[in-house]
Formats: sequence, structure tokens, C-alpha cells
Amino acid sequence: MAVIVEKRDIDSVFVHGSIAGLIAGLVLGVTTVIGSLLLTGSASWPFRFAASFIAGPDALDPGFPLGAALLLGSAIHFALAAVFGVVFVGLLALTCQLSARAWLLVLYGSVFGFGVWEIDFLVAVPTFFPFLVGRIDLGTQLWNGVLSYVVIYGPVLAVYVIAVRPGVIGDWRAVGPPAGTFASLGDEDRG
Amino acid sequence: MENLDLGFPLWVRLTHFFNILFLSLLIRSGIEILGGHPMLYWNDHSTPGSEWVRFTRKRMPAGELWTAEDEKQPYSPLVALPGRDHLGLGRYWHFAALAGWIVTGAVYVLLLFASPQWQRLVPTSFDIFPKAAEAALAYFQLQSPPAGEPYNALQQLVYFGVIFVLSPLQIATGLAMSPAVAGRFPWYPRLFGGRQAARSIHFLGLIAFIVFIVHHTALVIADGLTKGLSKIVLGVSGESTPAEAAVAVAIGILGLAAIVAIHIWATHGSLVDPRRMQNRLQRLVDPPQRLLLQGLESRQAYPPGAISPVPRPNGRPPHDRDWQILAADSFRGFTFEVSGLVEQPLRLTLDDLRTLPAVSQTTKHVCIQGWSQVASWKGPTLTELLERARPLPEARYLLFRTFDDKWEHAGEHGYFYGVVDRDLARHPQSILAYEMNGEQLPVPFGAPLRLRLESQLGYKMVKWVRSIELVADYSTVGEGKGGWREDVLYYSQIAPI
Repeated sequence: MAVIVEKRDIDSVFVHGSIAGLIAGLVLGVTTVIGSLLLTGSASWPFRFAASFIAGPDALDPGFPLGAALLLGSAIHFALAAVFGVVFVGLLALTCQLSARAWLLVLYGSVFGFGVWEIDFLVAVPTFFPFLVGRIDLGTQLWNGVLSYVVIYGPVLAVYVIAVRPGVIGDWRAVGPPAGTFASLGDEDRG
Repeated sequence: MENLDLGFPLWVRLTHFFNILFLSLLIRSGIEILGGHPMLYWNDHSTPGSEWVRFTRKRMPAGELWTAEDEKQPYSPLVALPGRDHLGLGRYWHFAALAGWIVTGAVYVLLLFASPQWQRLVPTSFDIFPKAAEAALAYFQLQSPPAGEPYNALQQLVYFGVIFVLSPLQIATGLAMSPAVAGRFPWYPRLFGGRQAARSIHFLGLIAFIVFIVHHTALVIADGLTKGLSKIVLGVSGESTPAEAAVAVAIGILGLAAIVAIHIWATHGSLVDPRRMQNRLQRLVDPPQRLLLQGLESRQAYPPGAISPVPRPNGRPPHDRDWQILAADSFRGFTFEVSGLVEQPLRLTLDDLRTLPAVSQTTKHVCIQGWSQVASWKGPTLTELLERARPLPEARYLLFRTFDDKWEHAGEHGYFYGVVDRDLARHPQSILAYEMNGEQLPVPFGAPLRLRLESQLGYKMVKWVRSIELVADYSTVGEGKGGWREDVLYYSQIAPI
């Protein structure tokens, strides 16, 4: 009988997806702040950007309290990061990819990161936050947008899955040749 | 190219509709076929554990006789057509949809180049690349790229790629998976890196189509759904009136509902009355396959070094008592018979068979599930046996009876059998093998005798053969579909692809 190498456990998907998302969100957040500092000279811009999802365009104004922007922006950023982390791990579980090869998981992570960027920046921003459309310059969009999602957020999610392998209970590469075949019989047993 | 107003003529709109229908059927039936062997490789040995991606949660155990059938992964009818491990019907649907898709594509391309519409898609200058990059940057900045005529450069490049690169690639890689094509033209699958590489590329093409469909649909919605529907449903160029938009949306919804209804009918009909669906699809799918592929003769000759290190067996050895007694004595008492519509019935022991002129061939075995492997086989050709038995003119088929009692199915469908056309039996690499890889045929691979038909999928190559009966008709044998798998699993009687 076949050996099951992955189990589907909704609790595990939520727990590990959230943790993966928070870790990836932290790394993405740090790189975004550094990127913003280098690109625009402002480290607070990413926080104000995220805070504006709730507080509206006022959050983009330098007059908006920095502490509130930091708190609100961080909360929104990490909440979204965790949600997308759960989606990532959930998709892997649904498609039996939790035990996939490491390079493939990193590729999945990058593709997923690109998808998240598309949803965030190409769908959500113009649809729900049109006041942000004219505020994103090309450099910010390229580095703090698509590249950081593709090379930071998604791959970090993947690295978490590679390190922890949530739901993986066996090594699929440990398959043996079928008994009674050339590959498993000694010469004297063949026939 | 300035101020082109190509519009959307009726044939563009109709082929777009049929493209949605056939592509969606191809995608769902393709997922069903993937479930037959939910693993993809870059090597043609399909060595267990060497797959680069897998879509199953299970692996086979070490130290037990497992077979390729154990590796199947049934998928839900929500994603697969029809789902629930119906590989035979999934393949029928895939080929039926393929026929429709190719006809649609051929009509589209023909009319495209017979009209000014080709300018819609075909780039005429290398400027397309920098312009496409500009359009991509505009999208990055959440701006609309400069309007094209009628598409912007990025759209034109993507649509051109999908129609003139991706679609032909899918057809070409699909054809490379045919054992008849690969048997007759062994160089052809090598163009893609081998049979399994072609299968992997075919799968990546499926993913590319899904990615394209998602983005294409999202961009149409972003650009204005009613505007897009007015164009593709009614052919309205420019701004549509509210009445036109309402009609376009209504017809669009009806069209999508029709496609969903066809999917539901296809899925439900296949699951509830598979025999009826098999009969319907068979009439559509089998004749062109027979015409185009069945006659191709295998000319495979792999070097000994190409033999697969871990050959996969398929099907479990019989529990039949006669076979077990024979197996316990290394088949020394086995007598093979050729009977039925022949002038000279034959009764041959294994030693008698070994005295006949034999053919040795190293060939690629291609399973209907998707895996492949290379092995060498030795035995007399069917032609050799038929020449000795001298079939009567009315004998059209070879009915192979076996010791395989299919105990896994509690014997409810009777013993395994297979039917082969006489034309196919005459192919030079159609043999009855008693040796595999230089050894006496091992039990898991069909001892004492198995059929090798190198232009066909593996399920036609009957194992644990007991006898051959020449018949004029097979409609009264089993369920009358031409083999045990054809009867029980709704496979086709011919298997060249």
C-alpha cells in the first residue's frame, strides 16, 4: 500500500502560513524601508503608504502623526503578510507541494510573490485606493513593488516551508524499486 | 498601419467563443490525464523518485510489489473532466476537444491571413520589443500604455506568442507523446529532450495557458467589462450605446452559461453513464486516430545502454490456480495455443516457441498513465506465428486470452483479455516476448509470455498470455469493446497516442 508523505491539516496551514507570512513580511518590511530610504530619502513612506489603506490619503501627509502611521502601517502590513502566507501554504497543501523540491518551492514563492504584487498594486490600489495611483514612482514600483515581492517576500515564504516542511510526514524520494522486479531481485531470484 | 479600424468581425467573435469552450475542455481533461501518473520527469526512464514535480501525497513502499496503477491520483470533477479516476474518458474528452480546438484554430488562422485582420496580431517590426517594454513599464506605473491599433505592443506580442508559439508547441509536444509517432520517428521526441521532457513542456504549456487566461480576463475587466464584451460579442468598435452594452452583457452571460452547461453535461454524463459517453466519443475520436496514426510502424532500436534501471511493472500477477502451478515449475508445463479461424491450430510449449525465429528489440514502453521506460524484448513475431497457423480470410482480429484473473477486482469483470487488429499484428515489432532485458520474462512483467506492440500504449500489450484466438468479430467477447481495459476502464480499442 502506498505511503502518505503529506497530510492536509487546516490548523497546520493556518499556523505555519501565518508564521511564514509574518517572517516574510518582516524581511519584506525591512527591505522596503531601506529601499524607500535609498530611493526617496524617507523611511516613513512605506508605513504611511500602508496606513493610508485605512486612514485614507491623510496618512500620506507629513502632518499625519508618525507614531500612528508606524503603528497602523505595520499592523496592516503584517496582517496582509500573514493572510498571504496562509494562502501560500494553503495552495501548496491543496496541490500536494509541501514536500516539493527546494528549488521548486523557491520558484513557487517567486511566482506567488509576483501574484501578490499584482493583486496589491495592479488590482487593489487602483480599485480601492485610487488616491495612491499617482503617488508611486517607477523606481518605487520596481524595487519596493515587484522586485521585493518576487525576490524577498515569496522566496522567504518558500524558505520557511523548506526549513519546516509543515504537514510533511515522509520522504517521497525514499521510494524503493517494486519487489519482484529486476531492480530489486538478485540474479538468482530472477525468472 | 495608421488608424487601423479592424473591428471584430463575426468569425473572430465565433472562433473566440469556441476557443474558450475547447480550451476549457482541454484544460480539465488534461488535469484528468495528469492524475493517471501525477509526476513529471525530464528523463525517459521515469525512475521512481526522479520526478521534478509531483501532484500526489503518496509514494510507493519499498520492499513490496507495487505497480504503476497504485500511483494514480484521482482528482475532483471540479477541476478534472470527468474526474474520479476516469483516465479513459478523460483522454477521449481531451482528443475530442483537441479536434474542435484545431478546427477552430485552423479556421481562425486561415481567415486571419485572408483578411487585414492579421495586422491585429503579427508584429511587422522589431520595434515591438522596446514598445512592449514601454507598455509593461506603463502598467507598472498603473497607467494605460499608449493605445495600439488595435492592441498595444505588449498585448500584440503576448497574443502572437499564444497563438503562434504556445498553441503549436502544445500540439507538437502532445504528438511527441504518441508511441506510434515516436516509434516510427524516434528522432521526433528528441527535439523536445525526450518523451518525458515533451510531457513536462506540455504541462508547462497548460500552466502558461491558465496564466494567460487569468491575466487576459483581468485586463478586460480592468479596461471595462461592458466595453470588452461589446467588442467581442457584438463587434462594436468605439463606444457602445447603453442598449448595445446591455445586449452584449446578456449574450456574454448566456455564452458562458452554455459553456458551463456543456462542462456539467460532459462531467455528469461521463460519471453516470460512462459506457454511453465512451460510445459517443469513440465515434468521434477513434476514426481520425486510426487513419492518421494506427498504421505507423515502429522502428525503434535503442542501444543496450539505454535500458531503464528501474522498470515499472503494471498490474498484479494472477491468482489463477493453473498459472500458479505453472509458475511454481518455471512454466515448464505451459502450452500456448493459437486457435479459432485458422487452418492450422498450434499448440506450443515455451521450448517450442524458443525454437522459432526470434526478434530482439530494445524499445520504449509508453504507458497510458504517462510514464515510460526502455527495455529489451525477445520472442517470435506475431507474423511468424500467423504464418504457421494460416488464418482464414475472415479472421480480422487476434483475441489474446490470459491467466490474469484480475483478482484485484474480485473477478467481477472476468479474465483480462485484449484484441489486436491483424494489420497491427503484422508490424515487424509486434512480437510475443518470452525474454526481457536478456532474462526469462519476470513474473511482474507478464511471464510466461507477453505481447509487445511497439506503436501502441502499454495497456494493449497483454501480459500473462495463455492463448491467441483468431476471430472475425469481438463484439460478443466481454463487454464487446475490444479488451478488458476497454470494457472496464472505457479505454479505446486502439492506442497509438
